[in-house]
Amino acid sequence: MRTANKILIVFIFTFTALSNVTNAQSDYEKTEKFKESYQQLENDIRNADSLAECNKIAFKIDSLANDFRQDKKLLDAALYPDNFTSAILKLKTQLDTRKNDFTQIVELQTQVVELENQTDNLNRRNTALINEIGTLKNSRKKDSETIASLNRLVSTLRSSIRERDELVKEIIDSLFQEYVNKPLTLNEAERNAFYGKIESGNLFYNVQRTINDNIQLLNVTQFEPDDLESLKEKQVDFKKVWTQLGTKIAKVYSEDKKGLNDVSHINDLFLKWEARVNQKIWESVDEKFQNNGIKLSSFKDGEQFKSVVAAFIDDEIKYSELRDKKDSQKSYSFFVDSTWFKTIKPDYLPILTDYNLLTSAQKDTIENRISKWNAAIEPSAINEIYYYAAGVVLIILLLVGFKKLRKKQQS
Amino acid sequence: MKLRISLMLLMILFAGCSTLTLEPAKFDWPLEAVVTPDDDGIIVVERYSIAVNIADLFLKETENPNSFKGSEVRFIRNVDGYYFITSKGFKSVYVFEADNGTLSQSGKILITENGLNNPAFNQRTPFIELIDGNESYNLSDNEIVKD
Repeated sequence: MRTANKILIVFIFTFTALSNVTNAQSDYEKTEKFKESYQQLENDIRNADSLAECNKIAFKIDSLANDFRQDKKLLDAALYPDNFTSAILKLKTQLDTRKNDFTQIVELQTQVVELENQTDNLNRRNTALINEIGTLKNSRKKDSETIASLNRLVSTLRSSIRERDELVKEIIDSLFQEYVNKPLTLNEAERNAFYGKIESGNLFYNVQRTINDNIQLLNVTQFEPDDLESLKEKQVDFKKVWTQLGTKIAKVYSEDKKGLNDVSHINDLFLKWEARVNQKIWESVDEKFQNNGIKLSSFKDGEQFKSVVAAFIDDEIKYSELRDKKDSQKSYSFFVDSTWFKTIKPDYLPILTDYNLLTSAQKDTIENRISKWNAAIEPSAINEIYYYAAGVVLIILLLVGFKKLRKKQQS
Repeated sequence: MKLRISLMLLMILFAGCSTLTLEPAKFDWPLEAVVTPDDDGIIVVERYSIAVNIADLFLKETENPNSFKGSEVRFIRNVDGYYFITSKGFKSVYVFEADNGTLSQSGKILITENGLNNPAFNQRTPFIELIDGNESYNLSDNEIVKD
């Protein structure tokens, strides 16, 4: 019994001594340890790349809170203006926000898979339509039935391409809406997530396909100004979306040669698409002049268009003195009345100026030339007005003189 | 009459000169500050908006004018408003009080002739606890207080 008591006393003494050692701990070190763990958890939350990882972090936050709860009073003072409770709450809020990101991402990825399936179907349908249109265009049969069938196919292709373009834009929006407003530098986890989304959304293929199909559509048919405007608008919108993402995508793929090649190829395709849409608009403008028997030299941009029109009008002014007056007026009427004021100005100038294909200065140059042309072909009419006015003035003067003479005679 | 007026004047004068005392007042920092002096020996504790040059303290303790460079100064204030300063290698804890734009030494508490290895202060009101490895000491503003 005595021995047992001795052992107990030794045990209590040793335990007390150890307790004292444990107690001799710096408050500063404890606080620093808490701050380090806290900082580490904040980094973990920022770099978490899945819901499962977020759940692990939630467990670590609880452990941190439990480990330091006995020092709550110290930490309340040391963490001023925060305190222990608010610091832990802040971590939990940060984690909830991050979890919410992943919940949204999972939803968006499901949506993307659905959109992907729809896009695949439309891609296949478009290929079939383009092939069918090609076959009909190459066939020798040009009867009304063939033409009607061709028009129907083109119309179907247009709506199908429009539908597919919307889907691709939705895919891009779904995939990247969280990245567009972020700073250029993504951390490791964000970069991996971004990379995964590009791959899962089959982004490069779909964007390339969109551009190629739109270029094909431009090749297979003619368009009215309204169609051209919507085609141009779509091309500009798509390019804007791509430009917003392009810098980030290039950064993510900075060490992947194939990825960089894809990005570069898409950039080239966008330039090609833009050039083709612009070309189509200028071709349509030229066609309107040709429909009224006006043959202009070829032009493919605003500067060339201005020069070609100015040169045409200068020639017309020059030859108007040598030609029959009626011929000059007819030429003027076809160009100015039937083409410029009837079609080009109301239907095409808004597109041309809105999308900077024709500057205001270039437009003013053309309209000044038209005014000059007008003055050159109408001089006789102006002279006649002068003659009539002079006659009227003369008659008035004669009448006044005659009245005065009669008054004199009467008096 | 003259006496009365003189007495009243004296009362007014004393009333104007008497000092106002606010109490209780507590000055204790919950946590020590661990700060590194800049090249001129100045340490700054931002949380308590205090800055002081400790070059002369190191000179006095080590007799080396450059010994403050690269050192870590442990700094804390007790409930009565005394400042306690020490550092690794110091034999003592120095106690100061604020005095018209200076910290003037009010005490020096010798801890060990061998110099402190890894000192740290804890606020244990009414004392300041100094720990160094496994050793711990409760300090008043002028001595080690035995348990």
